[in-house]
Amino acid sequence: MKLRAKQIFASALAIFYGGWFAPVAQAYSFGMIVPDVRQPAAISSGSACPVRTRQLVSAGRIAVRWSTALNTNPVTILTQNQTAGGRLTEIEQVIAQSLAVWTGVSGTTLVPATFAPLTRTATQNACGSDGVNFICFDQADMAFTPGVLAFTRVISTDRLGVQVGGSAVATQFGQILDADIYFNPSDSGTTYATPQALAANPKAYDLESLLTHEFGHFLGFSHSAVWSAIMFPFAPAPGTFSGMRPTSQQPDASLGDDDRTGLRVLYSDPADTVHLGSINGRIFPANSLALPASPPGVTGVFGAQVVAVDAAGGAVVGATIGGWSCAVPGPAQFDGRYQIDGLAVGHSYTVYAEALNVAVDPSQFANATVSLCRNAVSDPGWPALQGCVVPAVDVSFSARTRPGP
Amino acid sequence: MFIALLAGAGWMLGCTAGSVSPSPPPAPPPTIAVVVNPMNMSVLLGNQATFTATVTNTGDTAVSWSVNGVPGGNATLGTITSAGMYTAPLDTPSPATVQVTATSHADATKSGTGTLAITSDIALSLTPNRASVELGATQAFQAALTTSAHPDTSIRWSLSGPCASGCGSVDATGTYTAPRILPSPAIATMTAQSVADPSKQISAAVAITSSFSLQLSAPSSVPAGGTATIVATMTSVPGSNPSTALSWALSGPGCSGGSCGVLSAVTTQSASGNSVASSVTYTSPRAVPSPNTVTMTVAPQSDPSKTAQATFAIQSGVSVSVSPSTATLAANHRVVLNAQVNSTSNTGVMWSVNGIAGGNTAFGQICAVGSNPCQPVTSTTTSQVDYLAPGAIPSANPVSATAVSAADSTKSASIRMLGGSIGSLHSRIEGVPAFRAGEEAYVFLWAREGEPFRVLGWSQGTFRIMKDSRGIERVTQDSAAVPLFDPRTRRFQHGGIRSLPVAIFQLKLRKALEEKMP
Repeated sequence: MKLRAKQIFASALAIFYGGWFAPVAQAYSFGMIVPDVRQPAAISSGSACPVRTRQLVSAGRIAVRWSTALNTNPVTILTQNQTAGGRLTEIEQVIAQSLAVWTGVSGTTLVPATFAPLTRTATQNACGSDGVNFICFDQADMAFTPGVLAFTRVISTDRLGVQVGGSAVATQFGQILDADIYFNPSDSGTTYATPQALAANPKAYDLESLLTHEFGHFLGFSHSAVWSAIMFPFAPAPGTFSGMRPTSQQPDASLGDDDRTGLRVLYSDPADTVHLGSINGRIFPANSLALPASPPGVTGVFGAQVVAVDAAGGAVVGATIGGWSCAVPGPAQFDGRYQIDGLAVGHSYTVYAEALNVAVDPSQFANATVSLCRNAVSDPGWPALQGCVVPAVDVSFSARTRPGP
Repeated sequence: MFIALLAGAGWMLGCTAGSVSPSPPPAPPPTIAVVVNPMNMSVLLGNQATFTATVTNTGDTAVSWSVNGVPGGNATLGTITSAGMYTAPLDTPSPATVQVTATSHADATKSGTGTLAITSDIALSLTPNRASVELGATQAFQAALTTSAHPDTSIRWSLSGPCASGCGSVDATGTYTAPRILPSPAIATMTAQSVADPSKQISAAVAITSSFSLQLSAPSSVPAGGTATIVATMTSVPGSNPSTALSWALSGPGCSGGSCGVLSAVTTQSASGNSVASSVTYTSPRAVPSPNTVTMTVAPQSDPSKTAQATFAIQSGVSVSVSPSTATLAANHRVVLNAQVNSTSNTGVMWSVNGIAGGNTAFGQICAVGSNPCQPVTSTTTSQVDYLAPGAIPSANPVSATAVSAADSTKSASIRMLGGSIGSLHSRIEGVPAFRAGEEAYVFLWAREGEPFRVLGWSQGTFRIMKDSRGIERVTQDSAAVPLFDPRTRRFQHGGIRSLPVAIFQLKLRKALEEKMP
């Protein structure tokens, strides 16, 4: 039975991380976590409102190490420089460049100095739940199945004072304590190439695009349904890369506007006077009987993608997954609310909503949706008044444009 | 020089001018003597004592002082000035007596010696004088040194006891750190010793305690060939730091070694400041042992007496009975079939007629109870159905209607879902499909030999069953909307499965299987 399934998928399903097609704009999203209100309020905030998972940002605070243990038979990381030292240097430059893409976004507290200097380790299988952020190119993991190119395992916490392995003790709700990036080393048919080597290896995946995407998860992003976003869950086809290559003039060139807006929301800079715009509202079905009866209390469309488009240029500037709100002490209410932050002031925007089943599916956003609630079933002893059940993402509607007044 | 010459000249004059009879030889000059006073005395560490030297039979009474032959002495033996002022060392020398010598300047072969005993009046006290210290915790000890003198006041700390090298450690300031592993016996002796006078020491008894708790979380049962995650949570006393290493073992009255199952993927994570959760994946044996219980024993390295155990049952295969067991029907007539599922909470069954899922018009169909026309049953949750006989007597008569448990362990698989929570830590991987409790889906599974199954290609291998507005169950692939890149053809493929009725999905699946594996 196992073999049969595998053979069918070999041709019928092709490979994961394929590409994009329809230019449908949807949204950035973040990993969410509900603080453990069973703990004292001093370490849990006392609120069951979901918080975003994110790195603690301060100068030199985030350290990244990468394992120089590379797959050798076959070689899966292809470089232009073939010397042993040259290969490592070339790969390290790609890692640094991929990080610089994110720190190159204006209007955020994530700046180059946020990261400690990139360091190497010769240790094999360095990735693990040890509180140290690693990048591993030669470490097998149960998460890899055929078609999975790379993933990031993120460990965050729902209370203060917690640490994992040698990590810092959490001082921020939703703090990411460990984030490891794994590249699939076990699929002999899959190779990755540095930008310098990509043209000569058109069957290889662009290492820089994949790393930049995984660093998005590293920073707390979930996926985006904006096809031009680096956080779109499917990789560019072999031999191609996402967006444009970063340059010294535009270090964040490979990101989409949706990524940039998301980063400004996640790591907002109080000194930023440009991206202060915010749009919010609620989404209702035309017929309220279309709302789900279970779980009770759903009063608006949940899981709709609400997109802000720059009225002048037509660019998708940012978007979000709408459908819920939360007021202290929680829990989340599924009332159809949405809010898009981080928008540049002085612009006009068009907002529209669409179902989350066009370019991607709800499963790509599980961490941004399923994690909005905790209750006595999921967590024994959870207080009933702060418990809730996440409804299924509503994909049964189609949005229509209402004529303006 | 000038004076001596005149005296000599005087003697010469007398010799030539005096008596001629022989005279006795002149008496030798008197011997120079040096006497040190006092000849015996004692002095406290760091204190001073004064010696004097009396030089006789010479007008040159100058002396030089030495201690044990060392001119002026040194820090170990004590020092002495040219005036005979001796200062005792800060630490007791060995031996604790020294010789103070005054040597004549007039005749360096002449000297006098005094013997000096170097003593101490040091007294020590230790706080606390006994203590109980938890594994890996620290306890500060303070030693007070009292004396009327001026000795070296430093303290040398040491540990001893029957626990030998496992007693823990102590630093130069007297802070004791208990071992992370409980020694046997769990008693250590903490000793403070005067550096100045090693004969002065004081000890405190230290009882090493183990107060952490170990709790094991395990399911009450595991299906044969299935997997379960077992979590051991070690909660320690604040400030302590016992070793978190655990040893895991399986045993059972009906199994031994690998026949009890296999353990893998042991992970340890700090769940909070005081608790550490370790988990292990248990894969039960495919053959149910008899008796069918397996005991998981988790022994903490830090204190094996805190061993925790959990016993769980290996579930045997479920059983299904159908009633009535036989029936005789006329063409186009019906009978209600009931499936009774035992040994599992999942009472869902899959119906077939002569091996055909849902049957067909030739052998008869499985229909929703009372539905006319026949509404095919696609849900696995339906345990009561109608069997509708065909319009003509089938070629194979009688026919068999079969209900197969959805939870039949022989047809079930354990799927490793990635990510999860232990304590306050939440591990997540974006893109891994998540399922709600009770959700039904078709998933394509993949695993290497010996590994638990995972969902193949994550979203690509997940086909969820959802009811449409008319209540009809439809199948949608998670990645339906995404054009996928096929590395073999190097082309994008469109058209994932979306909103397909379950029956049609099953037909497509069966056809695909037949095409791929003739």
